Amino acid sequence: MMAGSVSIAGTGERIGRGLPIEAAVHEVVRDALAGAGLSLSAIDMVVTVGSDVLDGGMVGTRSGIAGAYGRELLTVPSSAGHAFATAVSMLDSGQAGTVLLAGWGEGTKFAALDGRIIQADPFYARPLGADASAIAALQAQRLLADGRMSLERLTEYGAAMRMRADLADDKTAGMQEWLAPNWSDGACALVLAAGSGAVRVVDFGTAFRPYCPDPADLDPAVWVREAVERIGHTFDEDLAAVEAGGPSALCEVAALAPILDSAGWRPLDPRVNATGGGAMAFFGPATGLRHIIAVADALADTSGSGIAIDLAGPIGQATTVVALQGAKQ
Amino acid sequence: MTMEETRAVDVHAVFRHSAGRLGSVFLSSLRDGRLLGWKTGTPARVMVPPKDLGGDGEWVEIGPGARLEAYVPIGWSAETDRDSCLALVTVDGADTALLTRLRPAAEKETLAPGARLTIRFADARHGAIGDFWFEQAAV
Repeated sequence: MMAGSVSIAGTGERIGRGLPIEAAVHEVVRDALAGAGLSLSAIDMVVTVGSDVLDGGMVGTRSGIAGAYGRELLTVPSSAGHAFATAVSMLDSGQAGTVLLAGWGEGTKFAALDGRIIQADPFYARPLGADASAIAALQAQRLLADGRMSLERLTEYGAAMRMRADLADDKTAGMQEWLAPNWSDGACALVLAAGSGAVRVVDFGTAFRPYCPDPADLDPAVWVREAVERIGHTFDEDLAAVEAGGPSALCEVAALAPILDSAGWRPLDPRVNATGGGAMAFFGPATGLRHIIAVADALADTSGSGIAIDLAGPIGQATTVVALQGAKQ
Repeated sequence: MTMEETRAVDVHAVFRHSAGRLGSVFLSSLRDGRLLGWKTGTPARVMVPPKDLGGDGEWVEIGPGARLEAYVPIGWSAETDRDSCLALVTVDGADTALLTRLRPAAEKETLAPGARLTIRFADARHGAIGDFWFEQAAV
């Protein structure tokens, strides 16, 4: 268990379709630094996440815009949760005193061409058409068939989240709206610092499954429980905010179950996914940073705790649970 | 507002992958019209497709029956194919599930997980995972 010696000092985010990403990265970094009351020269290390198959070539360019020139840079070719964990570990281990974490994604490209099938096994999955939408549909059908999820709950949750995200009129190319990501563009930045601050990082836990897990193991609730067990902290009494960011509403509502059941909250509680969830503005692997920021914002000037669940991969199988706490006495 | 012009651009990248010591046997057997599982580990499990855990094992012929674990109902994914859909099945004699194609594609209301299936091999086989598919077994 971590000692809780890392704090979120500043944040910035830009979300929207057609976002000019280079400008957005610059703006969110500027916002995060301003929130932390720091200049770029005070940053020891830059950690970036946003390398997907469609913008991998831009990692270097955007990392430079984020402030990586002349300082240590870690580009994490993985999920937001993984990148956040990397940044926290750098601070917790004393390898840096301040870390600028920046992530971005151009999800609108995926609406035209979802390249994630490249992740699928070239012998046994890719030739069969195991694209991300098909794997997500297998997950959905299995959860529904097992009685772990109901169409009524999914429909209610999906509609409510779309309203929160102000996407009520959007269509999802004929797919079930609770199954399809609502592709967006986005950039997020956080300044993390060793020592105390307004919101401290309590701990994080992870769970991971392959591109197409075993059919008996397709429930994100199981992965979240596994990740939570790695966090030596309980949240029953002071829980104030919960966010889950994943590629589909189905995956989010399933993942939320263990936390909400423990707290006695309903999925439509206003303290849950105030942003509308990740599926409503999905910009790829970095999406989870937005939800960490949302929880941090909710906890500022409070003493409450909060949880951000990052669900990356086609069905949320790269799961990271981040626990935060407001530091107000 | 002007309409954005688009053009289809075909990007063709060819890679040569080794199928490995187990995958080579598995894929060759498909060309011969046989589905094999790799029995290995303690306790022994039959894996299909085979995973090379580095240990010894033996090949066992599995099927032709199978259990449907899940499939992609029509309209649930971006796929527009109506002749077949992606499915997860557990082949009789195997301990792991297999991604495969189910023919024909089905609506959610017409087929449920747990259904009995049977394997079908293509007349022309190439030693690839697409050499076979599953259909509902006759009752």
